[in-house]
Parts: sequence; structure tokens; C-alpha cells
Amino acid sequence: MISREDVKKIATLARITVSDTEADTYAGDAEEILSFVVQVGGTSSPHEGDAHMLLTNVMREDGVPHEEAAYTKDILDNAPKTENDYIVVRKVITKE
Amino acid sequence: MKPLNELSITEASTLLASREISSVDVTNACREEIAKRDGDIHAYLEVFDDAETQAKMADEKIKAGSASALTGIPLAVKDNILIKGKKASAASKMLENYTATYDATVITRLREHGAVFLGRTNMDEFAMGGSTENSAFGPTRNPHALTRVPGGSSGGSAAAVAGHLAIGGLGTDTGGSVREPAAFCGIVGFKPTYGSVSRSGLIAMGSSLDQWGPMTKSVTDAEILWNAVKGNDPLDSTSLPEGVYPKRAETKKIGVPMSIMGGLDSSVMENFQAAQKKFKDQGYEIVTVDLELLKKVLSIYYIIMFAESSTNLSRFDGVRYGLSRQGSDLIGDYAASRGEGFGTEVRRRILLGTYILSAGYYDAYYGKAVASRKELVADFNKAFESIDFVLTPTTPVPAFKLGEKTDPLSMYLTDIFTVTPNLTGMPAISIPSGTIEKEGEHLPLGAQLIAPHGMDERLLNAAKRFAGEVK
Repeated sequence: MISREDVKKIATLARITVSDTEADTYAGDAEEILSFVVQVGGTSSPHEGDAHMLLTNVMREDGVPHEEAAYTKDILDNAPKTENDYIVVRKVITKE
Repeated sequence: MKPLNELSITEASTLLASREISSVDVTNACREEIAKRDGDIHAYLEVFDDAETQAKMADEKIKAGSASALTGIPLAVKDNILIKGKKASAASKMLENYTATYDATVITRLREHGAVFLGRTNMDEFAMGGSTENSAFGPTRNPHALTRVPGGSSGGSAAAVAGHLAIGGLGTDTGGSVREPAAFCGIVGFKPTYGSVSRSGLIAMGSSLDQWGPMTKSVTDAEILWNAVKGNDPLDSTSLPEGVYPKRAETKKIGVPMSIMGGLDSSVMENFQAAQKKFKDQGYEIVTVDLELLKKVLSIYYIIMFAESSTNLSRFDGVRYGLSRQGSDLIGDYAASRGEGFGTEVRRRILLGTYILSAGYYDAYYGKAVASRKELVADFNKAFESIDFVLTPTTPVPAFKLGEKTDPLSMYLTDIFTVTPNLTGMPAISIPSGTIEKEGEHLPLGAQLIAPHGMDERLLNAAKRFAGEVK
């Protein structure tokens, strides 16, 4: 069973606020959806299924991809809060 | 001559080349139709005010003798494909005010041809849905039956093309988002081999599943668009160089996985049998293929898609771009921005993805799904040793009514036939297969043809014969 508390815990991990009513709805949906998708079974051991699939890493040569500041203005225009050529972020470390 | 907005790419291109019409004529014909009908259909989120300027430039290109089949063709662009300087919102409040800082590679390549970008089209928020009802800006309606959905997530592009509000359309397909709306709206929708077209500049959902796709009035039109944008791109390391996959000998056999056709409505089954007969008449032998894992594809797909989309959407933090809201601290800022910016279905999928990937559940869900996905690819590769294509209906039902599917799981189940080619990375196309009558309305259906990796051209050729475009 997935409870309201479970949904709230997952929501904290996912960095999303959910109200109590929403958490109840999502708990019901998740119960139904997860009991459907768990039929996935899988005859191989889960560890055989590495996440890398059929893809390999493709690297590019180190170098200058474009002229300096070519995108700076456009990118900063999309940022909610800027100062000079910087994006303003909230203080991460706080005093206890 | 038919009204200019009703032309296909191929037809418009011939008339443009002979200078009987100009790009400005055909662009304005589409704009007039939008003004007349898009109030009801709501295919577009924005019609670009520079469309006529683009058309004038295309006309110059035609005059200068440097035109291609796409020069001057007005296209509807799904709202998750970036066009520099234009809004790209993925139909989400999160990106409502986001302006693209660069062109997607598909846009760069179409620009070189002088194609005209008419406007950006509605979709399910972040491409999550199969009806376009999940758009944060209101649903799109099916131009064939306004009480019904156009399908999704590329429902706006499908409705724009089917309603002749554009000459061709661009979509993206993660689990059927090009093919399902194409089937519901009676047009062609093509998902090429994974990696054949660059994903650079497409707003990501499930990165191992996402692929760009054309939505058009004919198979030939889809081929023209695909040829213009395909090919390796240094900006997408999963885009493939030519010749990665081996050519396969032609068998003239088409496999039908009868084991998953059980629950089909009799009218849909009849339509599907007629499609099989049409292929038979063209010299194909129809054989039954036994692909046991097809019964599990929805489970495999939804687990992988939840996991990948929750991961991809973690980039929206309200700091660098997108909706920003204040909480009590930094973590609170994230939670408030994401809580308000994402709609119900997007949050549901992020939560499910986070659950599935959390310690203790990872092996039971994601690990098994990835293992099963590998088996599925192997099963299809084996089946394709003795057949050229796999044939299914595109959808188990025709377009349903707005508001009809309220339970998320019942919506997910309509993807039963379309998710497989995304899981295997194989190319698939939905071709119109006629209409069925339901409650007095004639509703389109599609037949889906799936080919092995890299056999896109053979797939398009078979589809062209099916559609009667070539002998």
C-alpha cells in the first residue's frame, strides 16, 4: 500500500510541494499504476540489465565551442534574477 | 486548383517551383484558415508574426533558383522544438515565458531549405499524454469531430495539418506522440530509427525513447521532411552516422502479432483486416509472429519513461530559467517552483519516476524493465530475419471524447501498439487506413508498420505503395 506519507516523502525527494488532497489522489493512482507496471517480470537477473543499453560514449575534442559570451545575454534574459553577468542564487550555507 | 492551405508539401512545392503561386500566397492562405477555424480547434499556441517575412525570403530564394522541395512551405512546429528567439513552453506553466536561445538542429536544417515556421502548436505538457488535454493552455480539438481529442502529445501539429491550418507539421514521439495523433486525425506520422535525427534542441522527456517525427498529408511529404533533417549531428551524441545498421534482404513478408489483438473492438479489427488485405494485394505474404514480450511492453515502457522523465525534469529548479517561486529556503524555492510550474500529470510522472528509482525499488522496477527491453530488441531482431515489417493498428480505438478518459491508467493503455518502436529504437509509421463510424461520426484510424533499425527507406516505400502514392 502506498500512503499519503509515502507520497509526501517521495515529493520531498523530487523537490515538489504537494497538498494533502493531492497526495491522497497520487497515492491511489500510484497504487494502481505500480501494480500494473510491476507485471514487467523480466527473466534475466536485474543486474544484467545495465542502464547503458546499446549506446557508447561519444566525446568531442577539447576546444572552444563558440566565441566568448555568444549566448550570455540570451541566457541571462531567461533567468529569474540576475546581477551584472551573473545569475543570483540563494545562499546555500546557513548559520545554525 | 484546391484552396492553397489544402495543398500537400509535394503539391505546393510543384506550384511554387513553377511560380504559379508564391510562398506568401500559401502562408497567408494558412493564416486565414487559422483565423477562421483555430478559435474552435486550438491547434496553435502562437502564430508567428514574422511568418510573412519568412515567406518573402523564401520567395527570393525561389526567384534566385536555389529552392528545394521545402522552400517556402509553411510548417506547424510543436511547442517543444526550439526556434531561436521564439517562446518554447512545452505547453507548461514552467516554461510559459521561456525564449529559446538557439535553434534545434531540425530547425537549423529546415531553415537552410527556406521552410517557413508558421507557429508553435499545442501539446500535452512536456509531451506527457495522448490527447493534448494535459496542456497547461487548454486542450486542442480534433478537426474531424470537435467533441473529440486530436490525440497527443503532438495533437496541435496533427490538428493543424489535418485541419489544413498548415501544409506540414513537426512533432516528437516518445511512446507514440507522433503516430497516435496522426492516426486520430487521419494523417501520416513517422517516427524514424532512434538516432537518425538529432535531438538537439528538442525539450527532453525520455532521452532513450524520444525521436523527432514529421506529421504530413502524405507519406512522400514525410519522407521529404525526414530527408531534410536526418543525419549525424555533433550536438547529439546519440545521433548516428550513415551505415551503422546492416541492410537486410527483402522477404516480402509482413508479420502480425495476433496474440496482442485480443481486446480489439470489432470495427477496429475489420479496419485492420482490410489493411492486411491491402498489403496482400501488393504482393506481401501476411504471417503470424509470436512476440511474447509484446504483452509486457506497456510495463517496460512506463517504468523506463517515468524514470527518464523524472530525471530529465530535475533540471527545472526555478534558478536559471523557467517559473521561479520563493520558499522558506533554497530547497523550499525548488519545491515551490516545481510544485506550481508543473501540471498534474507531469508531477504524477515525476513522483512515480522518483519512487521507481529510489533505493530498494530500483532493481524490482527499473533494473527489470531495462533487462526486458534488451530481450524485446533481441526478439524483434530475430523476427526480422524472416519478415520485412511488423503490422499493427496504430491505436486500439479511434479518437475518444474530451474528458472521456479521466483515469491515468486507462489513458496509458491506448499506447499499447505505439510504445514498442520507441523501446526498440526501430522506425515506425502510421498510415491512414480509412474511417469507422461511431455515434454518427466518421473517425479516422491508422495502420502502423514497423521496420528493423535503419530500414526507414524500405518502410517509407512500402507505406507509399499502401497509400497509393506510387505503384
